[in-house]
Parts: sequence; structure tokens; C-alpha cells
Amino acid sequence: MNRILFLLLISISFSQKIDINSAEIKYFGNHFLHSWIGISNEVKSTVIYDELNRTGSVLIEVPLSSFDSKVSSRDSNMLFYTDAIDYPNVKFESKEISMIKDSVRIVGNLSFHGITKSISTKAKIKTLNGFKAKGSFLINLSDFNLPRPTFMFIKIDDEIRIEYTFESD
Amino acid sequence: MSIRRIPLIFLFIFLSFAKSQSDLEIQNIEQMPLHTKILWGDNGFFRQINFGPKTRKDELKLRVKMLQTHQKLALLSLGMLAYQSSLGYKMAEGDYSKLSSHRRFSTIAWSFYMTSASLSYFAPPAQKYEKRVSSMKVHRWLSYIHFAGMMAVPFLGKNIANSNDYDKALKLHKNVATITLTSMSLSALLTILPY
Repeated sequence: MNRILFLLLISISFSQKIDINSAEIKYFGNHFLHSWIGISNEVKSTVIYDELNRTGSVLIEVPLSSFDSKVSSRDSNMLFYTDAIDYPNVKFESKEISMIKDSVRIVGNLSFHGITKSISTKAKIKTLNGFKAKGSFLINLSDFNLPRPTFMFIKIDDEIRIEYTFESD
Repeated sequence: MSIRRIPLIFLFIFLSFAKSQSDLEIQNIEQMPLHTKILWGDNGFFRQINFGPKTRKDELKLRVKMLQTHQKLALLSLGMLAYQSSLGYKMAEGDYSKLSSHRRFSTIAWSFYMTSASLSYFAPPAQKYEKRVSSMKVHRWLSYIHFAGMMAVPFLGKNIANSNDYDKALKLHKNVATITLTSMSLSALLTILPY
């Protein structure tokens, strides 16, 4: 019993919460006539890194209203199509983290538009002179029961690429 | 669970809900276009006569529907105006067999255009406005030009027959129509720009 407690204490002492100084989440939208990028820097995140066991946990929440695609009417439409009044935030919670050299594979639950789906993403990690994690993954709007907006009689692509960057000093 | 905690839990739920709602207040409301402020602002005309959807969610739904229809009708109007322009040029070159088509078509094109413009101008407010210049902002500025042009063109067309100076009246009608068509074409092209 004492041994277990000792191991637990050791493990806790090596787990550290990383204070993220700058976080950015981008989504890449596509239509046959043009592509656009929506960026949010208003990301609430809790990143815990366990150096000893080379694992950790991630909890991220971002308000949909914080995404800026450089055209306010498009952002406004996005808020309508994503039902942002009823579901104002997108949330991600990791379930399984495994590190391989300088990258990390994160499996977790993405909650968007009231629907939770399991996703997997691979991020590049830099721990020299601070902490930096950068990665991406793909989602389908249809998986989250979201209608696709139409422009010039044609719908936007179902697939949306999400890119994220988290940095700490 | 202590009974004293129940009001606290309700207060917490209420505050959480209130926060999520306030997070979705219209961003940069001061940048709202004047015509939208007059119609849909806090003391706007539609608010005073209690006209329109009851919830903000329904307002957004109506806005998207109106703008989607605006987009389709505007494309049709642009096509019709381009055809009108070709008829007008043929007439200016002396082919008066096109007169009745030009007259008849002008009513149809004008009606389509005005319906499309109304759907855009009367639409409920967006969820977000911005100070910086974007393609959609220029799209709106151009709309003031082609809207003024569309208001003037039919009168200037009628004026050709009544004017003492035929050439001057024709030139004015032609120039205003060309500016209207050009600004409308630019306006349409701007909608496909990413920024």
C-alpha cells in the first residue's frame, strides 16, 4: 500500500500544469469558388504534462463567436448554422495520450453542436525553451448534424480541417 | 443535499445560461449599417411596431433565408440587366425593333432587382459587424451606387423620348445604366473573394 502511495506521489510530482500563454485554433472552410480560414485566440485550455510517464491530459474550450474569418457576415452565418445560441462552445477532452519522440497522439472527445464524437490527432511537441504543441485533424459537418451553407446554389464542403497551436514560455 | 443549496444551484444554472446568451450578443453593434439600425436597432422601426420574429434565433433564421433568396434573385437580375444593356446598345445604334423588348424587359429586371435589394436591406441584423474594410463591406457600398442607378435609369430612359436634346438624354441614360451594371457586376464578383 505504501509503495502504491509512494508511486502515486512521485507521479503527481512529475505531472505539471502548463500555463498556456498563447493558443490559436483555425478552421479551414472550402467552397468551389473560394476557401477561407477562421481563427480564434480566445481558447480556454488546461494542459497537464507528465514528464516521467510521458503522458498528460488536455481540456480545451473555445467559443464559436470568437472565430474571425475576416468577413463578419460569414462569421455571422457560421454562428447561425452551428446553432451557436444553443451551443456556444466547442469542447475537447483528451481520453488517451501517448508520446512518441517529439510528437504526441491524442485521442479524445470533441463536443460540437450538442454531439460528442471521438477524434484522434497527432501533434508535434517542442519542450526546449518552453512548450509548443501544433497539430491538426479533420471533421465532417454532417457528423455533428450541421447543415452545410449554400453559396451560389452550391453547398460548402462537408470536410473541415482544424489546426491548433498551443505555446507556453 | 442541504435544502439551502437548492437556490444556489438554480442561481448557478441561471448565471451559466445568462452568460452563454450574453456571449452571443451582436458584436460591434456600433458598426451596424444605418438602414439596419433604422429598421432593427433597439429603437428601430420594426421594434416599435413589434414586427418580426420573437427570438434572436428566429431573426437569424429569417436573415439567412432572406439573404439566400437575395443572392439568387440578384444573380438573375444581373443576367437580365446584362441582356437589357445589349438591347439598349442595339437601339442606340439605330435598331429600334428592340424598343418593345427593352421596355418590357426593363419592368421585369427592375422588379427582380428591387425585390432582391429589399431582401438585403430589410434583413434582420447579423450577429457580428466589423470596423475594417472587407469584401462584403465594399459589396454593400457598391449597392448604394447600383441602387441609386436602378432608381434613376427608368426615368432617364423615359426622358429620352421627351427631351429636347435626344443625344444628351441618351448619353445620360446609357452612362448611368453602364455605371449601374458595372457596379452590380463588381458587387457580385466581390462575394467570391475570401476576405
